[in-house]
Amino acid sequence: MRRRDLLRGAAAVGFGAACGAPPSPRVEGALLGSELMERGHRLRGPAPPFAAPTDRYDVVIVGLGVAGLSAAWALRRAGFSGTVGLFELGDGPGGTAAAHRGAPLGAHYVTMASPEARAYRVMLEDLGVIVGWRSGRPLYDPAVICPAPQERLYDQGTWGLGLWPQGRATPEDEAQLAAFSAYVDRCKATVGADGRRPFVIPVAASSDDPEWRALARTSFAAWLDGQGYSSPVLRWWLEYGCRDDYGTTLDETSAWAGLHYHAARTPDPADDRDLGTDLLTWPDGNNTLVRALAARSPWSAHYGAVVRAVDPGPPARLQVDVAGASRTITAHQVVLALPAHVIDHLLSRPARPVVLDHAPWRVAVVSLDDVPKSRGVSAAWDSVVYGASSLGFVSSAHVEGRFSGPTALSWYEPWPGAPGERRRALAAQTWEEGCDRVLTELSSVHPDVRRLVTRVDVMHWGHGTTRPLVGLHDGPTLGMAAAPIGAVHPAHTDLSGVSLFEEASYHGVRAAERVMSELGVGFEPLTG
Amino acid sequence: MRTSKAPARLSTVLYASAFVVATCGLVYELVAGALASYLLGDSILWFSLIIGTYLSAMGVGSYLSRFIERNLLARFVEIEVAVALVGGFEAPLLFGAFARGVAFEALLFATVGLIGVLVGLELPLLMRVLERDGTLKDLVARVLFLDYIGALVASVAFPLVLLPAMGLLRTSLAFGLINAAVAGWTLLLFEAPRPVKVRLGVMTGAALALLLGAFAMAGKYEKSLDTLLYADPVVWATRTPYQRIAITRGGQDTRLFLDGALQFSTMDEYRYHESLVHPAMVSVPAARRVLVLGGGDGLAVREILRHAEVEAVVLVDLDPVVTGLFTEREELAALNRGALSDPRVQVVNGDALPWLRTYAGAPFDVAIIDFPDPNDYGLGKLYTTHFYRQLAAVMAPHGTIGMQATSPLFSPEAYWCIVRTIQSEGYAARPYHTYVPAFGEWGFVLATVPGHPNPTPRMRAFPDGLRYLDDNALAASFSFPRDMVRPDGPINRLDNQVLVRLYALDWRSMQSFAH
Repeated sequence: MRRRDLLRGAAAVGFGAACGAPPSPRVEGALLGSELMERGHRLRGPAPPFAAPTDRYDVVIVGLGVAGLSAAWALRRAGFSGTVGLFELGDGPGGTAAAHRGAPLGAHYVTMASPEARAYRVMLEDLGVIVGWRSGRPLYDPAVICPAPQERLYDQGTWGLGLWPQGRATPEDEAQLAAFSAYVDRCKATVGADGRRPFVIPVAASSDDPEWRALARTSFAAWLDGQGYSSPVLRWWLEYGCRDDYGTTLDETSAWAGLHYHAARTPDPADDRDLGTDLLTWPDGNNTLVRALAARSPWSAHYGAVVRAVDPGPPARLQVDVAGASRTITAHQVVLALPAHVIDHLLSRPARPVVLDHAPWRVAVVSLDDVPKSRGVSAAWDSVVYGASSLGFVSSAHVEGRFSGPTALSWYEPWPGAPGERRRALAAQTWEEGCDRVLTELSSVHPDVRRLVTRVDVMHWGHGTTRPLVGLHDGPTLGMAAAPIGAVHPAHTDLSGVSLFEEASYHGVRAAERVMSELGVGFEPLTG
Repeated sequence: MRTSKAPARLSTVLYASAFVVATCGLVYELVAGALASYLLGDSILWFSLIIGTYLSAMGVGSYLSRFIERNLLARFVEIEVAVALVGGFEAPLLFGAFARGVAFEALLFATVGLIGVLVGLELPLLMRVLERDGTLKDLVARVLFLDYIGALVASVAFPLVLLPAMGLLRTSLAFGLINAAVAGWTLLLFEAPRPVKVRLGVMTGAALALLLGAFAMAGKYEKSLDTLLYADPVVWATRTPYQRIAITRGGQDTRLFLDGALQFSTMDEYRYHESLVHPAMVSVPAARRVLVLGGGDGLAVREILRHAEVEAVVLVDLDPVVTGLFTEREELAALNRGALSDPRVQVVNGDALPWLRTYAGAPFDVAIIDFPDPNDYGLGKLYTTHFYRQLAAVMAPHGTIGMQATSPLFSPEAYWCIVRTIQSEGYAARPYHTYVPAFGEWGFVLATVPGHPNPTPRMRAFPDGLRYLDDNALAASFSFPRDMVRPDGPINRLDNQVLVRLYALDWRSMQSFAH
């Protein structure tokens, strides 16, 4: 009897070693950003009273995400010679364009510039992303153009090229996709009554023609129903776009925003060059751009600074906790490069109703010893799993142009639905739950991931992306939110109703230009 | 339960089992031996080790059989099912292990040993079941006769019938099925309490189902396994972090395979390497500094060193194992006439693109590019506009390139895509082609760096000692017949990598054309 057990045992070991699940070593990692959240939520409490001012600046910029850095960039570009104070809650610049262990932890790509995006073009040229011009069109540094294959989709057991589920689409699905694409092409080729294109990045350059803006008064889902777009495959693909940029479902997103995602992505429809892609990216995402912007700032920044209250003046006063001390600062002009709800908290006057809200996101950076093996298309920048709650993941090795060796995958999962409730649900999640969620999904498409993984770091973004809900892009909300209050100029991607580097940059530059106008400083305008 | 004297029909089955067990056992051994010599070369070594392991393991099994005292027939069925599974899945398991690079040798000996032990257990058990079926004299004579005859049948059928008809994978699985069938047959005939029969029946049924399923799917995998196998005996093989390397020899012909793809055959590689190297070398006034990208076998360097004016050759190849083999192993270094040990030659092991980006030395007069075909994105990168731009930066103003560019006949879209891509970066490029029997019709590109006029391969005479190339052969190679020309198509860039797709499509259409 014992011998037989021994033999059975030997057979089991032999088979187990060959076909069983590979061992899963203990994975290390952490939940990131909780300290930042604690700092941010400190300003929920009652603000201390304003004391006698200790510091005076001509301009103060609060928030060194993309908008704040862009405002500083615009001031520097205009040769602004006044004093400038820069204050940021976090320990470094970047906001949601954060990076961790060489991989993006938030926003991770930008698109080539549209002709309307003048400020953005000049900025990209200054940052060395645009390296020259040919017949009036920008030439981009080949090293930052997203390498092919850009996208692949895991469906029915294999990776296929592109995001469209070719394996599952029926002729009817294909026909509906063709019809939708043809409609988007018409959107790209046309202009509204004001001569502007209907869907442009920056949003501010899009047509105000009521006929087009009417699309903002209906949900994308209802619009698709009305147009007869019933294909579940097409609707998955379209919802993927909404979740990807906005963290919202088809029902939540306005038709205007849903179409903007598709129609505004071709930066210049008149450009007949074969560009391959309009995506620009870096191994650690947009963090490379924000670091470059921060490095160009002639003014040193105060990090870990909690602005507790702002009196819009003029002149404006700010109550700031910085380096363990509370200081009162006066400034002729202030750029609040912060989300709208934070601006509402800070202003010591009756808060406006919060109309802009954000979808929470869970992002994980998964460090691997090697690029995992794939069935089908072997590599891509963006890997998407059909039907998953996540948006998939991007690989830092791919952006570096490597197809093997160590890599970090940045995995993105938006949490659509009622934001307050969803934020609380996400905040209750542990690192273990996030880690398990991402590894379960990854190992379902890359069986060797559990063997290769060395670390999983999880970030909870309570306010990840602006939600372009029904009504937002056809009403006074955005314009009101962007209007100056006393000497305070809001600047944030929120003010475009979509979360994009290009939009944040636009509002940063626009706010800086307002500031310079107020101060009577000459500059070459790039916005408006 | 005590097994009584075996009934007449059961003993027939058991005698048949002795025959089948012997046949199957030997087939598994032959499968293991054939697999090991295919994949690792050195068939004498592997067959000896496998036979030794198998026979000694059988001895161990026979000895262990004395510890089995009761329920002999039930044990026999169990062992039979175990042999069916281990033996049946032997080939798929070992192939899988080799392809994934996990401990192939260890797994090989483990399976051979395990099969040996199990088969070794079987015969003594059989004899004991049949014990009262006649005298010991008769029993031993019959069982051993069947056993040895079974071995003969296996050893004759394996190379002549089984392997050609079914291949390794399906032979292994088919014999697993036969083993499982014997278990089932035995089970049908012997008497045992119902729970025991049910348990054994479920075991046998599950094994049969698993093997049948695998057998049905085996055809699908055979194609991918083909790339692991070679026509000639493997004389040396290894796996490096970058690729699988195999060297085969059949008669006078030595061949190098990287990841299953033929790199050269000594019968005709002179046609390939003379065509690759000399047109570029004679297109410059003096080829003093020469860069070789890829070509770790040193055969292109051998051709370069025919030119007396060469002062320095830098060879950049990814895999130190390949360059090491062709520097140190005598019979392989003889193929390139010791080119890689020449004092003028510097070997750099690294990725070509980063190397080009960081190179800060003197510019090169000639670059010879001999990368593998663009069958994945990592290789596709080495054929992009980006690559040619980086290359131009390390070349002298009169710099000339000789480059392999896939086959204009088998992969015309890919070939002309490469030509257009290098032209789009401002190079003056002249496509040409040569017939290389081992590869078929093969394409090259002769190009001069941007700003320099068309390459003129008449600056100097060809060196002495060439077997293929002369002025006439070269002049003819610039002319393309109609079926090799593709005038329009895309340019290969990092952001589209169209070449990888074109190359795959070309080969797919070539295959359907061939069938």
